[in-house]
Amino acid sequence: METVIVVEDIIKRYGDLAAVDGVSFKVYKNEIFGIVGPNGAGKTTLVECMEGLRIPSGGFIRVLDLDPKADGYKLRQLIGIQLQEGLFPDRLKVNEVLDLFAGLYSRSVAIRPLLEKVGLLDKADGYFDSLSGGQKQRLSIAVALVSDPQVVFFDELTTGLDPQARRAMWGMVSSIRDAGKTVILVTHFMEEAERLCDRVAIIDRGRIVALDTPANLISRIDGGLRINFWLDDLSIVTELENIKGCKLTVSDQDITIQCADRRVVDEVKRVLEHNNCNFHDFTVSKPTLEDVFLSITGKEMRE
Amino acid sequence: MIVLRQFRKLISMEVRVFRREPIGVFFAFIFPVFFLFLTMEVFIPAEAPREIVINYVTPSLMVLIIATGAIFGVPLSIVTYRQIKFLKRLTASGARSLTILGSIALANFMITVLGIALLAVAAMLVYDATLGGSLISFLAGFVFTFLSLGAIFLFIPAVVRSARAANALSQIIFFPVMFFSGVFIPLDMLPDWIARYISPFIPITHAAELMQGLWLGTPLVDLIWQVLILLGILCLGLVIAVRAFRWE
Repeated sequence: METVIVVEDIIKRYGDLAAVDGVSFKVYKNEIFGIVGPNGAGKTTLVECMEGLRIPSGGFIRVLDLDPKADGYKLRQLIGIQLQEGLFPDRLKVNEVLDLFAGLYSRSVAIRPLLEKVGLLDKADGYFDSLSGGQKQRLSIAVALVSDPQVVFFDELTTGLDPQARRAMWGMVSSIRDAGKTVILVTHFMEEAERLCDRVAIIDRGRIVALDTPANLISRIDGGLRINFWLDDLSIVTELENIKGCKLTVSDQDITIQCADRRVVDEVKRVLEHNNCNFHDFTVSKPTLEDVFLSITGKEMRE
Repeated sequence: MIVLRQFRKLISMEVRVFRREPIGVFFAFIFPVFFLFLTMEVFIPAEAPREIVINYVTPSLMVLIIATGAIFGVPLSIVTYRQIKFLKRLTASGARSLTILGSIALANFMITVLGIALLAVAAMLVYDATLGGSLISFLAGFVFTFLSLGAIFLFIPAVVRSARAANALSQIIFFPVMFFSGVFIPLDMLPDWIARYISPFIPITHAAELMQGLWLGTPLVDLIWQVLILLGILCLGLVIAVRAFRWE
């Protein structure tokens, strides 16, 4: 696999606080590499060091064989960046924004097909301040792609979007990877990382606490499946606890059972029905990256 | 050359944004001409010799136009773009900081040139204003004044964060500075203590004296103090800008 980005032991300090505290990883060509973690974990600082927009306090970075610190301008001609925040002047039209940014790069793609790709063709003559939140976000993606970059950085791509717009955005990111590009995706949505990323680095307090494919990360935590339901009468709990391969926790009337496979699920259901229990909201789910984060750091993603 | 193309694109963007802001267009192009008519028809006493007065009023109003760009135009562009993170967005796209700031300055320079040309045409056609000195030295003095005033008011983006605050600060600076520098009212009509103790500390005062001198054809040796003072202001402005300018 061809290595596109090398990050070794990167540290970024602000006074006494280390926002990024010794992070190392590699990104390979044509993958979607996720950097996930709660707000304030140091994700944006880390990618901005990779983009050359911030100078790390220590460590080694190469992006497309360039040093972002020394060759920042050269590097930014080759990569595409979508910033977490960042608007355009209200009184510029969509196609004018793209024309401007196309002119800043040494190479660029045709603007109309790009607008079509991000679904803004009918808004080409609209002023920036007339766009919805999702449309503004799509314009910022188009700006990140206008130079036909080899590596694209997306920072909190779908924050503030409704679920439908978010899904549309996910499709777009996958298609960028399928077009042969390498994508760095920064997000605090674990679901987004799970759906999109080929590999994920989980960051907490400036450090990588886990790095693997989403599937491998999830398979690391005990119990493949999780059963949730609640009971009117808890007297059945002892019998449920005796089912083989069943890890049961009770909180008020809510029951959570972790188990390895489907057979346990059937057995739990059989016991409940056999005893004529009133059980409600019976769901079976697979653990998610959210659970991975919880099991590694001992805290919830969203606080 | 990619840098030249970046300049071209950034300047046309800046001009476009300016064009679509009616208030800015009014202050850059219409207000000075309106103020010219107001001064000549209302403020000037009826018995005053108009053919002489016009040659003092015209260069003063040119300084008004330059100062408008220096106090409002450039700082407000920078602060607004910084506030919405558009400056960062531009840097993230392979344009150098100096290219971005230089384009903002050049776009404002072009707008200023157009405003001054409009004013000169109105003054010459309606009131027979005549350039007494050499055109070359007048134009050189104009560019020099633009740079000097442009540089010193770069402290505005350094001390405010939001576009709203920049606008307020620019207003607070603009009107007293215009009144006490001999642009709106001739220095010898101001109270003595203002002309003596306040006006010399306003950069615009020296800019107005230089531009009036160059318009009237005063020999350059007699304007050497104004040139030196404006040079000092230019250097001071650049030092402050380099040290205090905040990119984010």
